Amino acid sequence: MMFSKIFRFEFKSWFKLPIFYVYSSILFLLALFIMASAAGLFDNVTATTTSATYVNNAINITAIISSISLFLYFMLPSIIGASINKDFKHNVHHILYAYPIRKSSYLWAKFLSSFCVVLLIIFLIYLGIFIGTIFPFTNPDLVKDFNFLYYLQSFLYVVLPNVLFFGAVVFAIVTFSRNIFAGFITVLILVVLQSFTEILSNYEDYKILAAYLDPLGFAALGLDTEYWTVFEQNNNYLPFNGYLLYNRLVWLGVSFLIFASVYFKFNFNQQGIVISWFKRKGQRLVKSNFNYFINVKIPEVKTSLKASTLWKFAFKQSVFDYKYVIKNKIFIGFMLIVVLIALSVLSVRNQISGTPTLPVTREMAQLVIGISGFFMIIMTFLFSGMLINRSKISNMDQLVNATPYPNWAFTLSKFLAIFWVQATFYILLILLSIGVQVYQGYYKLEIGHYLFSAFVINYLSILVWTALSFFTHQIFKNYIVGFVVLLGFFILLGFLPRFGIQQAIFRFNSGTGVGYSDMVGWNDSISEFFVYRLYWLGLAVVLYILSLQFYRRVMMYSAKQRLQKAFKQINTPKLIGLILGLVIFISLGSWIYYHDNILNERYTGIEREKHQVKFENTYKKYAALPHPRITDVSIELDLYPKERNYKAKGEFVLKNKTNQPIDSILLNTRDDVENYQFSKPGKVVLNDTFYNIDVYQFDKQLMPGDTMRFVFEMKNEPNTILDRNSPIRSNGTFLNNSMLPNFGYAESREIRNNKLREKYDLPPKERMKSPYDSTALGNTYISKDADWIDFEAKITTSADQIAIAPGYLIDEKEENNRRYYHYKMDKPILNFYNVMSADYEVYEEKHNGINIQIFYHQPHDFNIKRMMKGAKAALDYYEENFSPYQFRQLRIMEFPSFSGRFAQSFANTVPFSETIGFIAKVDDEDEESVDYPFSVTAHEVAHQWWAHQVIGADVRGATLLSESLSEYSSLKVLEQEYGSTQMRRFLKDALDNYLRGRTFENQKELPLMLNENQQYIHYNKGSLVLYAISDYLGENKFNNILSQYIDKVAFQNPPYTTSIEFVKHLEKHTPDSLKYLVEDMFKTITLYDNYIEKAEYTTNADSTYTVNIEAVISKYKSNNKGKRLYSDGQDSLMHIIEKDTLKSWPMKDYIEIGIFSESTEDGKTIEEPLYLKKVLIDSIYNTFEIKVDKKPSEVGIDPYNKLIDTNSSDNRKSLN
Amino acid sequence: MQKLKLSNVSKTYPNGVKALDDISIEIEPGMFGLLGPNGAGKSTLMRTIATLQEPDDGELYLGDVNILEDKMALRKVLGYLPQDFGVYPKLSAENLLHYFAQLKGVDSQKDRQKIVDFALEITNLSDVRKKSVAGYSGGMKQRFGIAQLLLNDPHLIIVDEPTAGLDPAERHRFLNVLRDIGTNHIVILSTHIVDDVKELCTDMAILNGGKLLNHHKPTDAIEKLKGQIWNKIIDKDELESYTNQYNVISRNYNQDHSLNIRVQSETQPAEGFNVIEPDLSDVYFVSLKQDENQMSNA
Repeated sequence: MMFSKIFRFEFKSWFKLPIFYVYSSILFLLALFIMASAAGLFDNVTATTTSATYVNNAINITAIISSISLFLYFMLPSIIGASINKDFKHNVHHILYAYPIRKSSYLWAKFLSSFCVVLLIIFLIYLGIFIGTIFPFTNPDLVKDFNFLYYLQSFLYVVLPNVLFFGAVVFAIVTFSRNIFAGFITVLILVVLQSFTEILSNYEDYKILAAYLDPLGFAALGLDTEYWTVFEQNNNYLPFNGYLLYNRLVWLGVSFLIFASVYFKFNFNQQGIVISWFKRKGQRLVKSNFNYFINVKIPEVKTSLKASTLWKFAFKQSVFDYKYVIKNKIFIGFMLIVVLIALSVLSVRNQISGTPTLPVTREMAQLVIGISGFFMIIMTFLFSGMLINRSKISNMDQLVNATPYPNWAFTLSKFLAIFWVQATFYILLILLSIGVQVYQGYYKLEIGHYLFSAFVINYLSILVWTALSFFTHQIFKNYIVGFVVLLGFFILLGFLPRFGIQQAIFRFNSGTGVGYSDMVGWNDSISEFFVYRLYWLGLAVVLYILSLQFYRRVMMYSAKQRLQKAFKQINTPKLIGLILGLVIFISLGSWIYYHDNILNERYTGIEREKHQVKFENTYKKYAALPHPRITDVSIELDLYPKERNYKAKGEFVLKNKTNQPIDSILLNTRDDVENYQFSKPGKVVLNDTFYNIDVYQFDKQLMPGDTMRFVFEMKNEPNTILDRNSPIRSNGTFLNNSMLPNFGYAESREIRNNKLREKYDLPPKERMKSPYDSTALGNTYISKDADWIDFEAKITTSADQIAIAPGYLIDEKEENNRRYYHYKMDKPILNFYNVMSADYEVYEEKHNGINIQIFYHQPHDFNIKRMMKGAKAALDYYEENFSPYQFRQLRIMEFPSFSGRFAQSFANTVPFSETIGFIAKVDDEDEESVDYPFSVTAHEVAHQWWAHQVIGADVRGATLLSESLSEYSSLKVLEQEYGSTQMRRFLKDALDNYLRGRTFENQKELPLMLNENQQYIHYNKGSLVLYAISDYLGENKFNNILSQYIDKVAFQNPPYTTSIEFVKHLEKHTPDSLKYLVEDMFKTITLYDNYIEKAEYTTNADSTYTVNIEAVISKYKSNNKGKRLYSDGQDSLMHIIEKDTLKSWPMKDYIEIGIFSESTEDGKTIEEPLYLKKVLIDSIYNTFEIKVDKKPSEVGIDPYNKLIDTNSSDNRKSLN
Repeated sequence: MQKLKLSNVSKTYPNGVKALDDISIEIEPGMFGLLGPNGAGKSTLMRTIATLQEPDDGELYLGDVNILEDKMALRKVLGYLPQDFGVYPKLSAENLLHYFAQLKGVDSQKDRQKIVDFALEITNLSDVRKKSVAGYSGGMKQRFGIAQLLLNDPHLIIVDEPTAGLDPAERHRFLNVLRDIGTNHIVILSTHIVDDVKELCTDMAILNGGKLLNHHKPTDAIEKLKGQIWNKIIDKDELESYTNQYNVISRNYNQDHSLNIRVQSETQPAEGFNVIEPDLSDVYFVSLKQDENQMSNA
């Protein structure tokens, strides 16, 4: 009875409160706009939204409701917390708690009534999401039919348990502390902890832990659905049998415990529950009552309120305020979390194949800034509010405000105090980072770089946030309101580009970023970075002064009055500051606006799409135009690293290789091209400066077999503060041939996405051409306007740098304080070349007549021996197994991080990013960590065969012949050097990356043989498949097949070879029993689902062992969207286990069965295979009885994970 | 000596309450008592003088200083103790006083130490100087409030209901300190305790409903009522008829549950009324009564 009375009273009372309507409408609109913008509402102001998955499939709905719920959690303290707190707040509890109410009625009515209000709000969020899917002007192609279950599932599995958990926590905290703010902070801390589990879930080894720890269940759901293909994402319901189920049980249990503790601990008391660490001893206090004063003579003291005194005081008081913050429990709690996150992120860092990089300061400083990022801003918002309101919070404001201390000095001291807090935060993180460096034995600490990254680059942005925070907290009386407003504004900013506001000058505190490279230092855009910083600093000054003008010193009762006051009374220094700030802000803003919008045209995504459409419509007709092909390239390049300028001259020889006369040529020119000339007279008949296209018509046709010369001169436009018009760097220049003019219609400039093409009435187009397209077979996938070329380059650069291009150095000299290099290649190469220039150190060795050189940036000598070893081992293996190396030298050179995180192979020239390899921290003891400086080098060297000898035509599957075969080749070199254990780690990562990669496929997944240059297929699946086929056929046999293929197609002229030809060649040499492998692995997408159901062994009388194994083996094929197929017409295999029916594609497959024993030697566990054999399998359920000589410890079906299997962890089972 | 001068000061709150209604007054150096019932506008007036609130209309001057125009000039010579205040938690009296000394511009460390020691001693807080003020009892906290007020040798002291919550010893001590300072400076003391004013003040005013009712020296005010205050002991059932018939300004019970009523009248109201010596309470109640009658007649 009592319960329902309280419940109804409480529930109804919410509808009288504006807060309910404010929260509901904010969240409803947010949900609506997020969903509608995902469904393409803002396409006309941004760019066309395309997606392979429907915005309202089960996973996407769950993701959207989950992210919006995050906001809701922050509102819980003021809903669920407030319901219990209002009795304390209005002191009703003095009276109410004396009434004869039962504790349970009171608590449950309070909780459930407010919980129902929360549910109502959640319902409105769902409504917003739903309306978003059918909102006018959205794109119906992105939305699938409404499915009520998707909504219901996300509610029951995710949202409801989360709200229960957060509700329970908030209810408990507020009930015990009688303070809504404490509830708010708890939510904040929980959300931060949740983000920690998100970081954790990125690491393979901690995924499962994260799945349990994440109170919101995101990590668990992510793990359950990590390999879902596009088809499965679009059609499946949420799974509720894996980690998500257990996660929910764990956290519902926790919620239950919290409720129980509230119930048992709660008393109808006047005082809240106080938790004290120490019991204090009581003490009797008596004051003196009888000492009277008669004559009061106040001692004379000098007072002064000079600016110098006030500055001194501001400093003193900033320390006073600083101590207040750092002793604050919230601050300490934050710090603990940050230390936890920082230590884990800093010590693990980014890993490649289980191997981290050395803790070089460049990366560590970047991580420090990354970690501090969001926390720094949150802390600034929160603690500036608490400091500004410090006297108000303690009710000391009237005492303080009646002193003659001026507002600016108060504000200054708080601003300084916040700076000390921010500095503490930076210093703490830097010290942690240095600690990690020293602990991991890295001593090149570069303190200056840390300090500059933190206190200049990052603080300049934080400073602007601080000013905004000061201003906001002066406006709002309640600092929690101020904090929420700031946080909301911060989050809203992230959405602005999606709503069409894209220019940085219109997005608060945005601008260009800045990067750092050990080779270059801060990148060239740092000048632009500082312009933007100064621009926002101008606004920061304005905000800071306004915060002084709005200082709450005198009680005010209306916004109007405050506004009048703020603008009426302003003294000269402030006015000058205000004007100065505005002048900086407006003038720089106008300058940037002028530069970006008027001087240079700026295009939105949608405009760029239209340009692409117009390009295709205008120039497509030239696609069929026959073009001469480049046969000789000779370039002269002058690099000026200090000035970051270049000048170039080039000469191409062009030959008509077609059998028809050519009368005109389409030239893709560049902004930098000053002039050009063909040796054959003619005239420019079309000159398009927008698309940079010229059409040149010859007076007399170029006859078949004829040649002519094309010469050109190039020079960059001068660099300015806002424009970097040259790709030249002060150190570490990395150029390639794409900056030079080239010929023929550039198909790469067309729109690729078919949904977009449909929108603009363009015919559908495949990402790559069919291998049966005879025109496409005329080009390599590297170059459209040349086959094999003769190459020569003359490069000058500053005296301290070495310049490198493909070819052999035939001349080198120093003149006028500049260095001159002349390279010439003595064999034809692909029309694909690079130029590098940097202040390099050189490490070289001669190996079997081949000169191997590594050009590296001085401190990065950590792994050059490993890279050298990799190069030598690779050359040996490939020459022995494939064919001779075509060059006499091999060069590896380092390039700056700004160009990317990769290595690349040009003819006898391998650029290698400073971010990989050079700074890898290889642990030879750790078998789970791959020596990737070695393996990446081997991969790039392999490209000298697989790309520079065998090059595929520009059709589907081309990268099987380059990337997949290089990856296979390097794997074999790695295996030879390190044995099969590193192989397992490598293949495990490859499997994970392949399965993960296909979930992001935005068009279609094709079989390996027909891949469209997708990395997850050609690298990851390619390495798995080729390693497996080599294993099944035998390494020697497979290498022989490769070698014969090289013999057949190396250095060929058009038509170029294709993966079809390769697979046919392979098939021809494959025994009939294994031909299914070629079908499964190359021609179709095939996956297995293999696991050991049961395994046991008995000891025999002759001390042998009999092992009984039950194994389940099934395979399926996948269509290009990821739908599973179990047959193509014939009957599928079936097997019924309990209620589940297992299905499989019909099999006559050889699957490896293994039995292993384990022994320990020198503390290391050594695994010895007792039995390992490929067995013919033709049904799903299989039993094996195998006799072994030694005591077995583990059995496995496909134990080395050679086959593609979405759950690779259940292939083995240990015997106990 | 400077005078505090208020002319036509008015303040109406957004909820329509007229807290100050056209107040004009001149206050001379010395102790000035501001008497008034709860909600009379005392605190509003005090805050207005202390520059923490601005009136809608009117002007305030301390000597030549226009308080509304140059708040800082006033704050330099102001000592203010609000009715209700808190302090930063976990800070000792001494530390907090040093902080306030800085806020009041006491420049040198030596001077600050000197004046803080003095303030602690005079408020009898020296023994607990190291203890956290937030943990003080009500009386101790009140004394701390006085200590902070003294730090800049104030010329204008405003204390809003300072004796509420003080025990008799503390109250005396406090009033004595005020008295001593008040000889040279303006001390404005708001209170609803008539005795405070009686003991100390050289000047006083009564505030009710935002209006200033009576501004006199206490002795003059009492003198004016001489012969007008009549006393009678009645039965409590008779009170209503007496109230209707006579101008009853106060009543209090005797031990035997009979009532003692005081009536204001120029002549003897009736048989059985005895003329008695007026005191300050009579002044207070007579003023309020007159104001009430005017309100109901208007």
